[in-house]
Amino acid sequence: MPADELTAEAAGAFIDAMAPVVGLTVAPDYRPGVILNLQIAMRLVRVAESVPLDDHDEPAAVFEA
Amino acid sequence: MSALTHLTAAAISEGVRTGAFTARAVAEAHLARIAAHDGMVGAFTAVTAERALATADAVDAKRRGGAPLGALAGVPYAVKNLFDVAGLPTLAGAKINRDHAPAARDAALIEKLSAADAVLLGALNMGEYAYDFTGENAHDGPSRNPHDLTRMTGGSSGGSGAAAAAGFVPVTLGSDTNGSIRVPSSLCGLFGLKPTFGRLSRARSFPFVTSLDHLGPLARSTADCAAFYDAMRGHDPDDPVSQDRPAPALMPEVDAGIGGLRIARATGYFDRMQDEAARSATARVAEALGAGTVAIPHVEAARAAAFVMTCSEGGALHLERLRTRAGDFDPDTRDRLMAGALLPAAHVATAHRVRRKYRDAMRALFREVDVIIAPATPVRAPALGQKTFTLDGQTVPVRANLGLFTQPFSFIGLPVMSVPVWTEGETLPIGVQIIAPAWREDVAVRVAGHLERAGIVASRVAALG
Repeated sequence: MPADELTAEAAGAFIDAMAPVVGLTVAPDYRPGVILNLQIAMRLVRVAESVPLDDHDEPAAVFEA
Repeated sequence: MSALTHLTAAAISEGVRTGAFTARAVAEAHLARIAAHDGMVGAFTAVTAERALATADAVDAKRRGGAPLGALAGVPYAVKNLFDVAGLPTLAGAKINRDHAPAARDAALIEKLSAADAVLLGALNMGEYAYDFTGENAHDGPSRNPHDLTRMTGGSSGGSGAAAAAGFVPVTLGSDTNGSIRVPSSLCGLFGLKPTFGRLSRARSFPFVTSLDHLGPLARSTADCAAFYDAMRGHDPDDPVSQDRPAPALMPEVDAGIGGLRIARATGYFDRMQDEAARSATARVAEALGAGTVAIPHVEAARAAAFVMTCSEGGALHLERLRTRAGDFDPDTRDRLMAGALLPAAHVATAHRVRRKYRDAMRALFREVDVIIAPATPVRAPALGQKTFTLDGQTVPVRANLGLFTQPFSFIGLPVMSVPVWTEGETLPIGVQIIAPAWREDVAVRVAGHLERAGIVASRVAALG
């Protein structure tokens, strides 16, 4: 499970590292909003990960060959 | 003839069929109401008056000639502007999409409704790229709640909620990825039907989260939802998730009653996160149905996993636009999509695994009950511009949380009807969800029809000016 809370500082560092990798430019005036939304998303990641999953709990994909 | 704008789709098609009035008179009355009032409501982004009158005239000519009329003869409707409408660019609420070429062909569901002789009046305002529960839009302005113009419609099908509640059309089409039919239905006092995932074709509509996107009707009666569903059902190979399975008509189910159904109200998470309006509306519906109670396993995690899938898949869909045209997005949408585009893939893969596990748990639960009742939204319509509200003692963003009760059910594609409850002395309604097992829209419609006949739920056309 991820760390208890993604701090604004950690979210900012994550953006600085990842945004260039995926080709995104997070302009200074977008940054507070992106940080806030990353914090919300990671909070919900932790909630989603509260469901116990074993190796055989597979996703339900719709792709058919 | 303003009375025409207060009729249901069923009454309009009956009147056109019997010759009580013409399809043209119906279209003209609705177009006049739009012209008079939409400036303050903000429901439409395009009114297709010429097309509407030509279609209406064709319906009237068919009747005069003795040709058989479609089931929705002369019924006006309008669509969220993510549906392709031939001749219009498909905006999906976005400034960026205004650069798109006009659609060459109607969306699949519009073609089905045309075959039923329904009359398209235009395209409707929506939250940008459907990533929204408020009905606000930085480019087109907000859709305003017709029952109180200072309040939100809910979104993202905000114009769809506004247009039906304002009497601009009796029925609209919306999309629902996490609650975007059911949230505006709740806030605008409408019946909204989100069918099973894979039931109605999404071909030639603008996607948001293809793993979760659904389309469906919002209307002022159960029967009108059923009639539009009946006209739109059927497998479509042009939609990759469309399922080829029997889709019985819903109209016979509207008056079928609730005999034999085991009904339970969802507790726990749902009790905690609502205000008194949602609590009392759900209690009233549950009491009328003689419902027991049920605890839904993993529900909070399911909602969270839906959120994670949504922001990630949405971020991926719009990644190139975020790279090249970030300044042209609605700021509220842009920041969420950018965060989603940066989310680690491992968390998204986990969300998909949670989805299947939760689906299996819900399948087991539906061996014990036939119908689950839950509030549609935690509150009545918030004020336009309101950014936060308090739930369970926590201050949380409105935009992300108006759908916290709808997300757990669309997440696994269950069919749901939202039904509107009004409390005496209140000007604003609130919705209650009727949730059925997968592919059992008939069960949800039976319950909604029963509640409507009993006077527990109802819709009304807003008084405007």
